[in-house]
Amino acid sequence: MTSTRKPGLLERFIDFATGFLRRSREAKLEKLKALLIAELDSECMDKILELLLCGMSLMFFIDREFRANIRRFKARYAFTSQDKGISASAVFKTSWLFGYPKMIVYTKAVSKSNVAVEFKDGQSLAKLLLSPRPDIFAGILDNNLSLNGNLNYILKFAYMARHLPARLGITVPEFA
Amino acid sequence: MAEKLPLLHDLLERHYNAKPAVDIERARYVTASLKGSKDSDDPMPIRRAKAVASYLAERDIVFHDNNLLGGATTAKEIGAPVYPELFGMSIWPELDSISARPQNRLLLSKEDADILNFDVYPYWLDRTVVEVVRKVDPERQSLLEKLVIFTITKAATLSHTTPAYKIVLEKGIDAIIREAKEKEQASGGDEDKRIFYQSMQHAMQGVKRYAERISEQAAALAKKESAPKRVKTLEAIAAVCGAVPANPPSSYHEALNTVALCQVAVLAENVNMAINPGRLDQLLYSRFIEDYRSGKLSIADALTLTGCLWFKLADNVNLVPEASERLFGGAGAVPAITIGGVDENGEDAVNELTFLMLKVTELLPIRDPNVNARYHPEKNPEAYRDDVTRVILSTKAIPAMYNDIQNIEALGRQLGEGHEAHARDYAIIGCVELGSPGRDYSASSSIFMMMNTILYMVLHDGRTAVTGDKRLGPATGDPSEFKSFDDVWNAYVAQSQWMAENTVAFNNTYGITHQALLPTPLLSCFFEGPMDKGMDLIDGGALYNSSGVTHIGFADVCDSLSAIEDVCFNEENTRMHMSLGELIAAVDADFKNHDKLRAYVVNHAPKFGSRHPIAEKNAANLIALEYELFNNAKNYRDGNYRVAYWTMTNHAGYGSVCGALPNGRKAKQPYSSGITPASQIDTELTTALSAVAHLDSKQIPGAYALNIKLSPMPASAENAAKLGAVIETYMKEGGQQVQFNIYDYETLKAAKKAPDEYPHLVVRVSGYSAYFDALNSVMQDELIWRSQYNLQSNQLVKLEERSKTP
Repeated sequence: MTSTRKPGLLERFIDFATGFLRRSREAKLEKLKALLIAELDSECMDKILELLLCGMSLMFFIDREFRANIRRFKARYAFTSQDKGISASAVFKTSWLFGYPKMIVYTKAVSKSNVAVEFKDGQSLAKLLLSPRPDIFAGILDNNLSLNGNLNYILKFAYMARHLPARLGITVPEFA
Repeated sequence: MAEKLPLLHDLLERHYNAKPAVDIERARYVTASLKGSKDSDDPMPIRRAKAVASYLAERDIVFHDNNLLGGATTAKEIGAPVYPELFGMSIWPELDSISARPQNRLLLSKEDADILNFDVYPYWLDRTVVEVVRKVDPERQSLLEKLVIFTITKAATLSHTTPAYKIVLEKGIDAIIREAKEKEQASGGDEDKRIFYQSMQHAMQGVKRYAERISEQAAALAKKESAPKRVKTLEAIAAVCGAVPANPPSSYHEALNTVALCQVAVLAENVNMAINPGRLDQLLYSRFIEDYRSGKLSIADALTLTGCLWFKLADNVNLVPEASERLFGGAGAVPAITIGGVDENGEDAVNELTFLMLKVTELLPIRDPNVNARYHPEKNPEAYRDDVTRVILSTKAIPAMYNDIQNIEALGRQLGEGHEAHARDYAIIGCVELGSPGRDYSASSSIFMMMNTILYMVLHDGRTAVTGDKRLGPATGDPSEFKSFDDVWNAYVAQSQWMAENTVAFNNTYGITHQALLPTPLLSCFFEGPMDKGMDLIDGGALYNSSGVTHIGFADVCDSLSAIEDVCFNEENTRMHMSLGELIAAVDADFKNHDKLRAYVVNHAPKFGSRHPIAEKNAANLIALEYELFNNAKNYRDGNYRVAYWTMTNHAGYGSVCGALPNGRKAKQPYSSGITPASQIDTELTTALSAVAHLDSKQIPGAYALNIKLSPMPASAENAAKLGAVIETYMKEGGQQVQFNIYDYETLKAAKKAPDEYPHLVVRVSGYSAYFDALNSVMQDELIWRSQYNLQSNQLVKLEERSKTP
């Protein structure tokens, strides 16, 4: 049976506000798509981490189904390049307001992370997190990648990360 | 076969056409049960027994085909069960793509993927064995994750053992439950024992309920079914599973179903890796011969029923993430069946069922089960030997052959004086390992030693390629300062000691973690010892306790040591002489600009398999060293470590990511498999066999895999006898094991190029069988590259491009 109740003022305000925010973030995600395609095509991929984290963060806001991945999920990920030139973090927590799950991106490596990823370059990171044919062995053995901490968290992160290019309709190369 | 044994023909077609799928059922039930009991007062053995029992008692009952036996490892026709407590989460990143991946795809529905993603995996994020171990020993865990220093397989599995289904065949599960209850009541104030006996009862109730539900479901389906043949099959299953395994079987059909159900039950608790039914021609003989002699069972029926068990054992595969395909891809679950050999009194044990099982093996050349034929050159009849070799020629790969004389002695020394009967009753575990079934909790695949890494550490003063400047092993000195080969060898001993100490310590840490998190009350019911001691297998309840340590790169490292000795320290060598420092530099450069050196070490340096005295000495020293290092080391169950040399697909996988070696093997080439001499060395077949046979098998109690490729030939009586005679000579010289691929280079190359034209081509890898097209490219190349011998001429068939890399 369909409810015929009209939404209240507060609900309408929330709908309007989140709708506005969603549209603005969808526009941002669309802009990010072009940047991500260009980045995956570039040689050094030094912006890949930033784009990936921002894209995921936007997707968590926009996409309810995707957001279900981080419901009640509390975790801290730290990413640093071997030359320390790039650092970023992703922190997952539940907002005090309405218990809303969210991903916060920092531009430095947080301490007390569940897992810390050190990577040689953007391509090494993309191989780990985005490639349709991930080759973690080669990354570790060639000293392009070092993972410290609970690797299960990386498995979950990689699962979520792979949704971003899929949603944006981007074909990720295999990085042979 | 289609006319005479139509059911087997149909089942074979179905098996070949079935698409393996991820099966989440076990993960779902076990996780839900453990989640539900996490705040309960139940101790872990009870919680785990209840979790496994709940899965067995409530899981879907499926009848995919017309197999005459009831029970299935998973709900899928061929399923890859998920064990989230170990490595079941490794496919998390590919939940959306695993159904479409290019190699060994596993079907997974969106609904099942969501259950794993949202319900199962989150519970295990911080609870897997690996993550618990990481908190205890993060440093060694980090080394393990460097992948090429050593491997401790307890991160993914324990398994690798042969239970005694004999216990169930003799008395049935009801009797086990009664006995456990009586023992529980008699355990007085011993809380650990009381808990253990309770957990046994919970586990067995689960198994019993599973069989009852199969019976109920089959009976219900039979009532709805109209096809008379199908009705008969379902009614038979209903009757059989209504009787066994609760009671001892009263027919061959019931006995076979007992084995199938026991196997399903064990895999509900333990990872589906090398859980072995054991010596089936011995276990099932009395039921078989009774039915046959009384006229209840025809040979055709016996072949069909036995084949049905083969398919039940082959109904599951391992869950391998795409990232691990290059190391482990293409392996089955390797349930090993052992036939032939001698009995516990040392007398010929070959019987009518042995021949019947050989026939089934010939009719069904499938990846699993892994069939192994024991042979005692002094006790078993030649007719048996030649039937085994005929089946090898016919299937082109199966079965492997084992020498009772050497293996009984090697295992007997491990079990101790007065226990010879138990050694004579040995069965093969997984690939090639030896164990006394249901007495010997052997965890035979505990440690993988990378011999190439040890050698690298010798040549780089304790450093490894993957850890760079950080020294891991002892400082054994700058190798360019070594004055003699003795200095090289002493450094090798020192680095090996470091490796052995660390792997043993870390394996024991994993073992202790398994004791805390993964008790095995169900498997304990199928062993001698736990019921009497009131102690779980994982805590040392079995009669014998051991762990296995296998080695990767034996022939390559042996040949590398010989090359170093020959080129750097043999002053009589006038053809090629250089300092060790120069040699190391050339090897580290992957022989770039060192073609002359490489040509010399490849073609002229002493090689294991050629019977060259330097190679023989180094091989013997390596074998003795590894035995000494591990045989006296203690595991967490107060047992020792048994040395073995088998490699699954790891010699190809690890080889593909490791650097060059002084024997001329270039970077990223496969290592030689098992104990097999390096491929393409210029030697005769019998010389290569003889070199392996002269290794001291007493120092290889875990056994080895010797892979020999022979030019194709018809499976005629004459060829079978010729091959039988060659094997017999090898065994009389001391050889422990040998397995064959009867293929030429061209066929395997063509099969790699056009897999669709060579479907279901079964090959022996390094201890087990695999479908060639399911192996990764590196492993396929290794199989092509392996030396091919002509049995008639005894000569190596030269590969045209032999100077090139595989």
